[in-house]
Amino acid sequence: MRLVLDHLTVRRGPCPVLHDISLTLAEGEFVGLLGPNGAGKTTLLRAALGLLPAEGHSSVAALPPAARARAAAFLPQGREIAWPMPVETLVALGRPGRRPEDAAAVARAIDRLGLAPLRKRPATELSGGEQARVLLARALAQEAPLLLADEPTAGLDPEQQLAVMTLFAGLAAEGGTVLASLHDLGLAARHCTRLIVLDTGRIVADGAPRTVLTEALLAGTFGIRAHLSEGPEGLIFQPLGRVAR
Amino acid sequence: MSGFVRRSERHKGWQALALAAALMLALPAAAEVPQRVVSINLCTDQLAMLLAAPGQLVSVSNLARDPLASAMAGQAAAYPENHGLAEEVFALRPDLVLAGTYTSPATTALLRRLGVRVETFAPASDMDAVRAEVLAMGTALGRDEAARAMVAQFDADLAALRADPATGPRAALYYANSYSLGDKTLSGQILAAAGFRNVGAEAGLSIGGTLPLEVLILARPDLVISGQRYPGASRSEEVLDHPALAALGTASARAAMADRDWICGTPYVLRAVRALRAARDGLTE
Amino acid sequence: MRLPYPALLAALGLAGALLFLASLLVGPAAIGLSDSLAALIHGQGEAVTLVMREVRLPRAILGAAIGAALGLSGALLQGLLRNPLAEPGLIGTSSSAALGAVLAIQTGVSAAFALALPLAALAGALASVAVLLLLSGPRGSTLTLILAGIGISSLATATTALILNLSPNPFAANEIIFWMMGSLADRSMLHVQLALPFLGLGAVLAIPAARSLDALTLGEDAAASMGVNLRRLRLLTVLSAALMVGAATAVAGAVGFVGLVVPHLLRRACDARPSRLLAASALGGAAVVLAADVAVRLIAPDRDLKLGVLTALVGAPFFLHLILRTRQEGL
Repeated sequence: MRLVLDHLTVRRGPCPVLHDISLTLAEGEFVGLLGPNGAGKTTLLRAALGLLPAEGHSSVAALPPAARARAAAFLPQGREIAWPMPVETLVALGRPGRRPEDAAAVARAIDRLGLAPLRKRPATELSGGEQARVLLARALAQEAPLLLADEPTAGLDPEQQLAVMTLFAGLAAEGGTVLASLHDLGLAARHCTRLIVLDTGRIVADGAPRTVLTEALLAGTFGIRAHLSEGPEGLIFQPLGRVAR
Repeated sequence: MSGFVRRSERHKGWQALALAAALMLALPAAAEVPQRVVSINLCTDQLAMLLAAPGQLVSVSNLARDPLASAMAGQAAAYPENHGLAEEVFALRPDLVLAGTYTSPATTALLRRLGVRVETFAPASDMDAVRAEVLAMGTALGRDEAARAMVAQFDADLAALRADPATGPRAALYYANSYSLGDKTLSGQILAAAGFRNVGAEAGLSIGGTLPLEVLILARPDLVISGQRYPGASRSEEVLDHPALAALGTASARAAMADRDWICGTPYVLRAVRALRAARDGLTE
Repeated sequence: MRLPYPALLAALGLAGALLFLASLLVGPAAIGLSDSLAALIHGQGEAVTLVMREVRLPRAILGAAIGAALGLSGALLQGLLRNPLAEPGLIGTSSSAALGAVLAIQTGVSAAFALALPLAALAGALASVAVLLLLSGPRGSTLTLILAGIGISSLATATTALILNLSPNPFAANEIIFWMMGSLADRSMLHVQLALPFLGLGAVLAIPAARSLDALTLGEDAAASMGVNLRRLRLLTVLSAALMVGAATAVAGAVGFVGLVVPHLLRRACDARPSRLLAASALGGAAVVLAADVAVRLIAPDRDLKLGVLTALVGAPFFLHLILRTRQEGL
């Protein structure tokens, strides 16, 4: 098992913002974490990594800090790059060792995201999409079996969004595990092997995309009507309109 | 430290002289002789206390009571103090205010506008200036006789103390922040009167200025004269405790001199000359 | 063309060494080159030896050590707050350290117990960084950082002025300029002995923080997920910077802008890696303060021109330039 959460609860003040979450992620899974704004997606990811105090148990948070970095890589939402570091140096932050295999991992991550031509450029001078790829490469360079990504497709153009989703699906196909919070239900339905839906801090659905994205859930949790159909390249999600909740 | 100069016995002569002068009732009550005199400057405080008739001096500045700065702190305690502020001075209804030329011009201008007579005295920079100050104060207070007597006594005492600086030992005046003084200052003249050559002047200072510590060390003075230490602490005075200066002490004597005898051009400068003469005699023995 | 990192360090070190030598050779007393070195090394010529060993050597050592400390603490604080404007002088650390030092001197504690001087300055520096972190949060946004810095340094400077004005010592009241601008004039080996252990300890504490600061480039969450212990990192950096700024200010007053200009100039050459910037800024800071201290002696040999006057003349335009740039980048 790559990640085990057992009765994980996070409180802000007296009220829980994440309520009694239990789940298990296995290898080869690309899990989309869905839910409207404020449902607790980011909180769940951070609590699972031990970045904020939580009740209950997380198999990754329970590890000592150094082991945690080997067990899971994290791509935060903020996309912060404080200094004008060259792309290659920044990606290597994910792999600070000096062994040959560290350098190889950095090179693989750079290749995988097509960053070779930007290698020497200061990361702060790149476009938003390029920066997102650099940061993703940094997380991949860690080559941890589990990748947690917070809204990895936010702010990207359609092609880049597809590239990220394909990459994650590829990682899962190679035996990795990805847990990514997503807003685009269409992308999630098409590429993820499993979807977990959060609403006001609780898991309201967990399973294969076609079993999760029911009319009732879409209306109740997201407040939308949508059409779901099987296409040649996977599930097709077509939003139709809003519903009164 | 062997070269340390002990403060000389308080010299009573000038007070006695002042008292005697005050008792001479020869002066007519001329219209221009002021009856209520207020002094607001450390140096005019002392000159006025030395020369004024009883009851003529109404108030002196608070600085006059500071034993570190004033040679007449004891006498000053007998007078009400002021802080040199125009308002409090005017409230004393003076017919003459004595100030320094460096007293705040706002204060003196305001007092003059209020119709008060203000006499200003420049800081003395040599022995002639001391004589001139005493005589000017005598005139201002209508006490010319007493002033002339005081100058005569001053000249006689100074002549008795004078030693030739040409062949004398070399002394450096060295104060906080490495400040030193040259020949064209009262302190430089005191030094010369006591028969010392001035290292500050050798280093190119004519008035006052910084004498860097390393220049002082290389000048190898026979005597390093510093001011008295003030209470509390300051970074400025730290240089006086510099280990290099202490190490110099094997060749150069150190002397701490009471600032009060050096600041103002009054006959009390003779106390400074006398102390220096004692130091010189100690060095040349 | 860019220097490889080891070559950069070597070049900075060489510049520092040459300026150290220059600092030993420049002074108001004109002493020949060979005489000075003979006196310094072999103790030839009693007075010259005294000048070289007790006046110029401590001055040069303090120039190098304080410069290194200021450059290093600037780089450290910038790494921690992820803001190029974080500088000990600008954020009020130096003026708070000066307040601590002035308190120790004026209460007489430092006279009774010499270590009280650097310790009090350290306490002042620590308090100011703690207040700054409270006010500006873990990532100092430029606005809150600068505003908090103005508030802290105004308060510290005003309190220092108050204490000095109330001092019974007539010289103390005129010393506010020294504490605000800094000077190495007439410092002695006693000051070297007092400051060096604190500066050294501060530098040593910076070493384990270096790698973590690299990871912090990507934000606190990313850094923590890469195994950085954020609490330990904050503690190390703040303590290290406070130790160095405190000890430096206690003996030399507040010398501003070194921690701003030096990391700014060297950042690109270090691939913007905070870990590399630390060592480079230390060497660069030493060179800059030594150069400034040589310059004050050349410009006004008989004036005791304050060190901070020169560093501010060079540094303040940099500061304005950085403000313009951070505004353009919308930080």
